[in-house]
Amino acid sequence: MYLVVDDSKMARKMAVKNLKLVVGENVQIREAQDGLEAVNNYKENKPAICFMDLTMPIMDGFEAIKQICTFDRNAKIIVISADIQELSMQKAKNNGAIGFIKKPINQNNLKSMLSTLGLI
Amino acid sequence: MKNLIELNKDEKDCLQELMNISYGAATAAISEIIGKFATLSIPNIDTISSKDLVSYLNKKLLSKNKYYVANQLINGYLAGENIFIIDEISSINLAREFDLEEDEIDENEIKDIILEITNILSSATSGKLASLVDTSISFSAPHITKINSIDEFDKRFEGEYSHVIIISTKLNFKEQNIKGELMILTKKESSIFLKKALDNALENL
Repeated sequence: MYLVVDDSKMARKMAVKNLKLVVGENVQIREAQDGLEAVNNYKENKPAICFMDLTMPIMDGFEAIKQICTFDRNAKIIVISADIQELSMQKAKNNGAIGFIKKPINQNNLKSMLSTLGLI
Repeated sequence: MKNLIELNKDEKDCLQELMNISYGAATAAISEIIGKFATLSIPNIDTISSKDLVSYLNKKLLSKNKYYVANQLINGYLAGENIFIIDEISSINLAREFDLEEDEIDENEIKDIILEITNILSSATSGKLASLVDTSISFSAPHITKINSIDEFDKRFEGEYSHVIIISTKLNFKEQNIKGELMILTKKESSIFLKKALDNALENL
């Protein structure tokens, strides 16, 4: 099961659509619309991979990554974000993210990331 | 207000996400130029009548501050205008980040830097937005003025934009105390084009 976290419904739809194209139509995907919801969802469902936006209300992605990785140090979190500043990518990585996909997500950048990380 | 082209919830969400992608690229470009980290904020989409623009700005900004207002016309199906507003203190702090010595920071240098920043923000945001909705646009050269309060904001906008979709987002370098606001004003025809383009994008998801 995968978890897609983004405050934008459109961004979640794009991620879900591309995940199904890359991983398969039958893959189970849950969604969360902010960092806090993501942390709670992660603790409850322990998804195989979590796809996380950074700029979100209530709790941002940086904090959510930190909390999830404190809960599960083996968590696999891939950031999908428009914030492509070097420092943001570094901060997300320091908090525990294992990969970074620049928005907009597409089949190629998703497949390439999952393949690089040995997740497909 | 009844003549406004309102965006529904999904269209607003779609536009917000497109702007988020565009603005992320713009902020990264500026961040790289000055070598400092910027905090991204979630873009805000509002539809208002242009006669309410000044009161809208008064609510969003500190009305008694002095501001530099840079504006740049957008031509094409997304015709409108980009407006970048930055307060005087932020603009001086911005100039410092461009390695200017204190005695080099004058009105002309500040205006020059703000115009350059406006150029970068305009092309990266509106340009990217245009490509994301499959159209192309061109820009006129940006202009800049200094106002002593929001009440001095150019009334020309009221006449030229009977109807505006305001897409606003912040340029925020917290540690350097630099805050600016970018707004994209769209005309009625462009708003209709944008709404259709957003519907198409949503249908194709």
